[in-house]
Amino acid sequence: MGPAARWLVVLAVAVALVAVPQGLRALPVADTEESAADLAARVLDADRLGWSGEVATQGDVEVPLSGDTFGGVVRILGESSRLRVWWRGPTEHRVDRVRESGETDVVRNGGMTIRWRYEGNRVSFVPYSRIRLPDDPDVVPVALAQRLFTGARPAELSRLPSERVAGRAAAGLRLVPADPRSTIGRVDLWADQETGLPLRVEVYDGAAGSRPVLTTETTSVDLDRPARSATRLDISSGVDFSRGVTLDDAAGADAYAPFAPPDEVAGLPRRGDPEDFGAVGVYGRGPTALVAVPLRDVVARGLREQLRKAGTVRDTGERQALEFGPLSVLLDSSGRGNYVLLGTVTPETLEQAADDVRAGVRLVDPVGR
Amino acid sequence: MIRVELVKLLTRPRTWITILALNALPTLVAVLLAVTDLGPRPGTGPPFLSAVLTDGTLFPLAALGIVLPLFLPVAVAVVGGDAIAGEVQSDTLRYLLVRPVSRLRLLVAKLVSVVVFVVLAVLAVAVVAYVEGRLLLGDAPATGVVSVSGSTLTQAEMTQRTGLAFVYVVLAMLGVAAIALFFSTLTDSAVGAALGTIGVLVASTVLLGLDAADAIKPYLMTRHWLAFVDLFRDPIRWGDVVDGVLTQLGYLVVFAGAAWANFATKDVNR
Repeated sequence: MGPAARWLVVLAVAVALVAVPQGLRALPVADTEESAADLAARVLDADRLGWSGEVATQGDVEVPLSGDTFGGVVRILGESSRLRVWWRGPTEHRVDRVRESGETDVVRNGGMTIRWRYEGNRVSFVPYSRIRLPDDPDVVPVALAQRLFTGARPAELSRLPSERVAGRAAAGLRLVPADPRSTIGRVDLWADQETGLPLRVEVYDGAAGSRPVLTTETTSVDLDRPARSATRLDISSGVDFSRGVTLDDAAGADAYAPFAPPDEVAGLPRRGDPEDFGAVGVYGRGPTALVAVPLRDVVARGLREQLRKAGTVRDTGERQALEFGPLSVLLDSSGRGNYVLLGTVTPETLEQAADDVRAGVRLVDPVGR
Repeated sequence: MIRVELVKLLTRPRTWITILALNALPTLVAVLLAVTDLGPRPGTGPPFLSAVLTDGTLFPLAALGIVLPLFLPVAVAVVGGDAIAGEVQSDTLRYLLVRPVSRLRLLVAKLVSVVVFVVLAVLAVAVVAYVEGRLLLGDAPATGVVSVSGSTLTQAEMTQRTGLAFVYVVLAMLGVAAIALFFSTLTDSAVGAALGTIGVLVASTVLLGLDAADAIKPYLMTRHWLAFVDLFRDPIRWGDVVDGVLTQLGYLVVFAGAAWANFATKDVNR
């Protein structure tokens, strides 16, 4: 074999090693005739499916706040994560966020949430709370799709060409919020053609940019329901245990703050079951949503300092407002107590919502609520 | 041919000096940790290092995490870069080639010799770190070793997974060895070949931190090096480990092939 032939062989091998995996991923996928509304219905039903796999999330927002502000919100919007998921249903799953030298595992087991953090050598048991700050299980495609597509109207939905995601043929679906108060420009989703399980969700803000502000994509998937033991943590007796009362500040405020926010703010109705209403108000529909959380003075003071450090904050003394990516934040200390409002709505909508909360909030006894 | 190369490797003082130097940093770290009792904050520093103050038996893994990103690949680049270019520099290559041995066999023997060096180096780091961990940093807790996922690893599981981790680290160096061997066939300077290999490693590390390079990240040589940590999760996370091994085998095939393509008819004057 001559020198040229030898180099050709090497080149062919190199090209094959790079091109074959790419080619397999790029295999064309046949589209389905399913309507956007029907696909959306299957997507919303898919959180009952059992599956396991890995998910990669990528937040592309430059966040001017420190990493632990608003629980996982800042991390989810501003960083990338690798998640291992074992999903038996919306109330029984395990999601591990793996890092190069550690991991944080969150297990939902009915009414209990168990959290393990390797770096802290600690496991905590906390009752599950419907009202809480976003965490890793919320950005698993099936959970994020539930949050964004619930309440979507047929006119807001359209089909996208199918693609291959995690080796599966996935049907595309687009949601363009019709509400002008939303800062979300569109949500693109690809769901497994066979089962309707969401495999990739891309969230775009209202700006004209072509990059999503948040992407969550299943990179490998096994559609068999995982064994119950897979969603359990087998914790060593050598680690520290703790038992908490509430998941985070929002859950604590919802249960114990002596306030009842109004049933509607800025024209957005309150979400959820009135029987479960606490001091935290969640308002809006699909991606046009905001949350109003009462804060103790000491917590509000810390948040105010953080907001003031961000260069783009609008500060009136009683109110501090800030926007990053599609998220608007407003801390209001002008009325009875402090309320922080956070949502994927325009700054004007959040200002109006803060006015409405201040005018409509009632003092209540949290025990007899 | 392979036996000749192995004897040459084992009888060279520079082999053992390099292995000694590789152990210097983990040893210094062990001494500092033992003296100050100050470990890195959990979640920072090399994998497992924050846990060694309470469990010295983890120090071999921490030592691997210390040498793997830089010192071990640099050592492999130096040894691999010397494989052919070193023979040219010392005017011995033409004598090697007058023997009735094909150039391909010589290349294979050189590659095997570099891989054996990697095995020796990794074993030495492991053994020295184990002794240092037991002597300076204490025994495993009575409750057993805690996995990254919080479960208890029995001694048998720990031994098995540690063994797998060392095999993985050896495999992770195959790509470096192949690239160094290829550069060694391109140049007459062993230093130049080693520097070229280190340049590739630096480029790979830089690209890993660049969002714009997302499309090529799965193919970067250093992408999966620290995936040995995944062997200590529960259940074991095989995905990156398997991808890491396949990536290294890909580099091995392509660059060993390129070394063969270049060396098979290369003019040898010295």
